[in-house]
Amino acid sequence: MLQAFKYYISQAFSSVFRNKLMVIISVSTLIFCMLLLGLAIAFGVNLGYISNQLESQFEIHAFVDLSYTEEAARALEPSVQGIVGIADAKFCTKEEALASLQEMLDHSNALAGLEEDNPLQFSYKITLKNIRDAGSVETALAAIPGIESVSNRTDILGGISTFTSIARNISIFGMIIFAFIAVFIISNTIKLTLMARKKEIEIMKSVGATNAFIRSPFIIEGGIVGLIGGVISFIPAYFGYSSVVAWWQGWAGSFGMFDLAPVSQLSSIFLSVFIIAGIAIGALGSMLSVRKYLEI
Amino acid sequence: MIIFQNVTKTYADNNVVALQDATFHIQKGEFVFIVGPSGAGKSTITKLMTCEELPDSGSIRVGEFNISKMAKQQIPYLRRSMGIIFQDFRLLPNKTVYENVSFAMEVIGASKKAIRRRVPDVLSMVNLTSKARSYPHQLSGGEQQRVGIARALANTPHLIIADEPTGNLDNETAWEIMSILDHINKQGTTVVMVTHAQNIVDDMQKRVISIEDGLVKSDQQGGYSYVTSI
Ligand SMILES: Nc1ncnc2c1ncn2[C@@H]1O[C@H](COP(=O)(O)OP(=O)(O)OP(=O)(O)O)[C@@H](O)[C@H]1O
Ligand SMILES: [Mg+2]
Repeated sequence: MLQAFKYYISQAFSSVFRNKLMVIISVSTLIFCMLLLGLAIAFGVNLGYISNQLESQFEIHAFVDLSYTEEAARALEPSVQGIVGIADAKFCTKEEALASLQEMLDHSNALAGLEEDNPLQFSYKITLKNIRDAGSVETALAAIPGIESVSNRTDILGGISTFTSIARNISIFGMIIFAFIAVFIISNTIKLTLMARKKEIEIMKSVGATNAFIRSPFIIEGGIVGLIGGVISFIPAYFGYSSVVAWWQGWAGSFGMFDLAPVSQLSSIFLSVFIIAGIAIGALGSMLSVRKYLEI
Repeated sequence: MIIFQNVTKTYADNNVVALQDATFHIQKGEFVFIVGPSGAGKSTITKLMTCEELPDSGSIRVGEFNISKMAKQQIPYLRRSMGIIFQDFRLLPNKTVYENVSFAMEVIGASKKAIRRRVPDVLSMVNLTSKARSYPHQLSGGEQQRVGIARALANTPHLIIADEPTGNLDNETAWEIMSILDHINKQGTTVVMVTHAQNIVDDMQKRVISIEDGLVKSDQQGGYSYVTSI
C-alpha cells in the first residue's frame, strides 16, 4: 500500500517536471481562475463585514411634528417604545440635533445664531434588534399621530450591498469560466503524460495492474499542478488585497466610513480556498483525461 | 484450463466476423499451437483469452474466470493468472532488463522482498542473469524476447499466451525461444502459442488448432504440414 503510494507520487512528480511547458500554461490559467475566485471571496466577505458595521450603526430617525412642545413630544415615548422589534428609542432634543449637525459641519459658523430660534425638530433615535424589521418599524412609527416623518440609512446600506453582490457575482461568473478553461488545459497536460506513457500503460494492463493503480499517478499529477497554481495565486491575492485595504484606510478613513475586512482574515481564507480549489480543479482535469484516453 | 464454447466475435467497427462458432478445450499443462493464414482470427482468439476483446456469443472460461460473464473489475486478476508474450517484445526502453521484469511485479503491488527474490530466478530461467543491468537497445532480438518471457513469468502464471513470439526473430533465435517455452511447459505451465512458423510446428509435434476464415478447421496432435494438407 505504502509502496504503491510512493510509486504514484514519484511518477506524478517526474512527469510534472517532464511537461514543464504545459504545467506552466496550466498553472497560469489556474492563477487567473484563483484571482477571480479571490475577488469573489473578497467581495463576498466584505459584503458581510460592511453590512455588519452599517447595521450596528443603523438608526431610524422619527421626527416629531414641529407644533409639538417638548413635553408633548416626550409624551410620545411609550407608543414609540411599544413598537415590536425596537431595541432602544432615545429622545433627542432640538439642541442635541443642532449640536450634532454642527459637529458634522466641522464646527463652522454656518449655523451660528440658530440657538435662539432653533428650527430643528424633536426626534427619536431608534435602534433595532434586527435590521430586517426596518420596514415594519418605519410603518408603525409613521402611523403614530405626532410623528411627522421617518428617515434612515437603509439606502446607503442597500447601495453598498447591491454593488458588492453584483461585483461578487461577476467575479464568480468569471471564475467559473476560468475554472472550465483550467480543467480543459490540465486535462490536456495529463493527456500528454498519458501519451508519453502509452507503452508503459499497455504493459501495466497486460500484467494485470488495476485501473486504480494505473490512474492514480495521473490524478495525483493533476492535483500537484492544481496545488502549485493555488499556492502561487496566494501571493498576488495577498499583496493585492493588502494594498486595497491600505488605500481604503487612507482614503475612506478620513470620511469615517466603514472598514474593509482585515487582511489576516482574508489571507487565511485565500490560502485554504485556493489550495482546495486548485487541487480539486487539477484532479478533475486529470480524471476527465484519464476517463477519455485510458480505456482499460 | 481454457474452454471456448461456440464463441463468435464480430468487430463492431467494420462488421468483420473474426471468429465463428469456435469450440475447443485446452487442458492444464498442454502446449497448443494456433495456426492459420493471415487474417484468420488467431490474434482474435488470444485477445479473447486476455479479455482485450469480448465475444458476441458463446462462453469463454480461462482458469477460474468465466470471461463472458465476469465483471470488468475482474480483468486485472484474470491477467495476473497469465503471462502474455508479444511479437514486438514490448520492453520499456528506459528501464534495464532487471527493471523491465520487476516493473511487472511492482504494478500489481508485489512486495520489495518478493521482487528481489523472484526477478533473479526468472532471469536465470531465460539465461539473462549476466544482462540484468543492460538496456533493451543493448540486446539482440532473441535476448529481448527472453526478457519478455521473463516478465511474463514474473508473477508465476499458470498460463502463457504468446502471439507470434518468434515472428520477429531468425530461425536459430526462434529455436532458442522455443526451447525455453518448451521447458516452461514441461514444468507444468500451459502454453498457447500463435505462429506462422511451419518448421517449428512440425518439429515440436504438439497439439495444433488450425483456424481459417474465423472457423476452427482442425484440431489435432501433429505438425503444420499435416494440418494444411487436409
Ligand atoms: N480491432 C479490430 N477492429 C476491426 N477488425 C479487426 C480488428 N482486429 C482484427 N480485425 C479483423 O479481424 C480479422 C481477424 O484478425 P486477426 O488479427 O485475429 O487475424 P490473425 O489471424 O491474427 O492474422 P495475422 O496472422 O495477420 O496476425 C481480420 O480480418 C482483421 O482485419
Ligand atoms: Mg495476429
